[in-house]
Amino acid sequence: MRIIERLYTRLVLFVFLLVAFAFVQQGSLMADDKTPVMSEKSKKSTASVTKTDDDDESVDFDMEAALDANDMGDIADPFAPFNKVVFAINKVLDAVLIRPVSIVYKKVFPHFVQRSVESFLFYLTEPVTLVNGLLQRDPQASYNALRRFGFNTVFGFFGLADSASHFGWERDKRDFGQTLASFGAGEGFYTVIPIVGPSNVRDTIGLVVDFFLDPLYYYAVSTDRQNLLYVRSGAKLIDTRSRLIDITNDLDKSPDPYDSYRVTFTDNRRYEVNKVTHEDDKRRAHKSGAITEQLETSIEEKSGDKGQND
Amino acid sequence: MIKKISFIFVLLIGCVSSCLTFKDAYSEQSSPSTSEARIFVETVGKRIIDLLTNKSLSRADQEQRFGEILDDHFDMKKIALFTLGRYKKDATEEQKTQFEKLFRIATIKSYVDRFKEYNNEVLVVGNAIVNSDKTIQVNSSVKQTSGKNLDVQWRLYKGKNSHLHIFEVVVNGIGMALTKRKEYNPTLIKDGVDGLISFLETHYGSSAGHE
Repeated sequence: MRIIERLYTRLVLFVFLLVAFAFVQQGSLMADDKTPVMSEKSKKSTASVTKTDDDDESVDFDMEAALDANDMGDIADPFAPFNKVVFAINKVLDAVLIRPVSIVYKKVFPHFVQRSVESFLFYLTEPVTLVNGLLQRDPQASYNALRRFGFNTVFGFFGLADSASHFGWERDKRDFGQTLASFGAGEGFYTVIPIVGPSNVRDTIGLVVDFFLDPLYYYAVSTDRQNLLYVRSGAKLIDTRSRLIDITNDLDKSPDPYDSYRVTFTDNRRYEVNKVTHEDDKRRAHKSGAITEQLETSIEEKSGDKGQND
Repeated sequence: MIKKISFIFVLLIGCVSSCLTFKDAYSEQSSPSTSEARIFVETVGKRIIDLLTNKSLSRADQEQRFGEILDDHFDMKKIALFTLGRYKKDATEEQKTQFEKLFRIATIKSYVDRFKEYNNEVLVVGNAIVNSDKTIQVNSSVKQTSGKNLDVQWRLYKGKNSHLHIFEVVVNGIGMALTKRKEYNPTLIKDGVDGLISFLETHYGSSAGHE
């Protein structure tokens, strides 16, 4: 009887410790989740439910913390003097040649021609996306590139129309810069490439590798038609520039255009890389203990619902 | 002995379940309504897209109406002061007021410029995330006719008047507040708040005068 009693006691103690451990774990998780909220709450009680000088009607929240302002990630630019020289040369080249040609292209050619050119240039990048998708361990991206390429070859007149997008197979460009990031490579320092413009070490390497991943390169070399590569590069330059005219006009109006280009390029590029690596998302989710509600509906669906409710 | 341990055990289970129940109830009470935020973004986003793609409006009308949308739904004061970073603390009230005015004009001109080529775009609102600081992030995308999409993140908070206010919009990684803050930072380091105000004054001062 005593043995049974001892065993029972030990069992209860074991379960007790297990539950206590689970409780402590849960408690620490709750503390992690609630820390920012509690700090906000305590701020409210101690500091200000009243209006502040820079906040007329808002609840008190720390915008610096909400936007991760202290964790913005500096842009390493150790060769800034050299980059500024290349930036200035690019600006002159742009002002005398690239921008005027782009404006003429935009004004002279009908919109559907411009869209066909843009669509065809994108179509040529699908094989590169296919390879990079596999390297990024994202077979879905590769499959999407493959089906888009096949569909646009047949129903888009060899990519002159992006029929696949209308079919719901949206563009999802992948490059080797993103692939390097997916393997943990950092962006390195900021660079300005002649003619091409803002970049960084990782994306410059990516640009070179993507060039050699491109089947068009091997076709042009094997058939001795290198001119194809020059025409493609020229068309890409003018097409891209023509679509960026409004944005660059705006950036040129900033207090320091070099800094504005650097910041805008880097923010956009980090966002594109994050789409593949999800590093920022993971970090933010971990930091904030975010509660996510997946509620995928479109405006059309929403208005449809409203109609039904009415 | 067994009775004591059993009692403590039951008590502990009771405490754990109470805590978990309280936690769930607390989360539910404190979380702002994500559906409300999504509807808000749909409404504001649609208003912006309709305005910027309306080619029958003159540039001046577009700017004026875009300014009205900013005033109605964006916390421009908070955004403007945020872009000053650590220089906000040292800025005088006069400097802050002047900067807010000029920042608003610069933002209007910038966005009307950047989106003037847009036609027939459609905003599709995705998921909403409630952060532990009670701010809300609504993800959306602008479907373009070319097949390319723009990802747009809206960051909101609920004001004391229970209205939602936008404090950041990020288009393909480029934020109205955060990117601008990084852009302004070198000028602020070099020339201070006065230098930045004087630059904006030179470029947008005449427009500010008409406000």
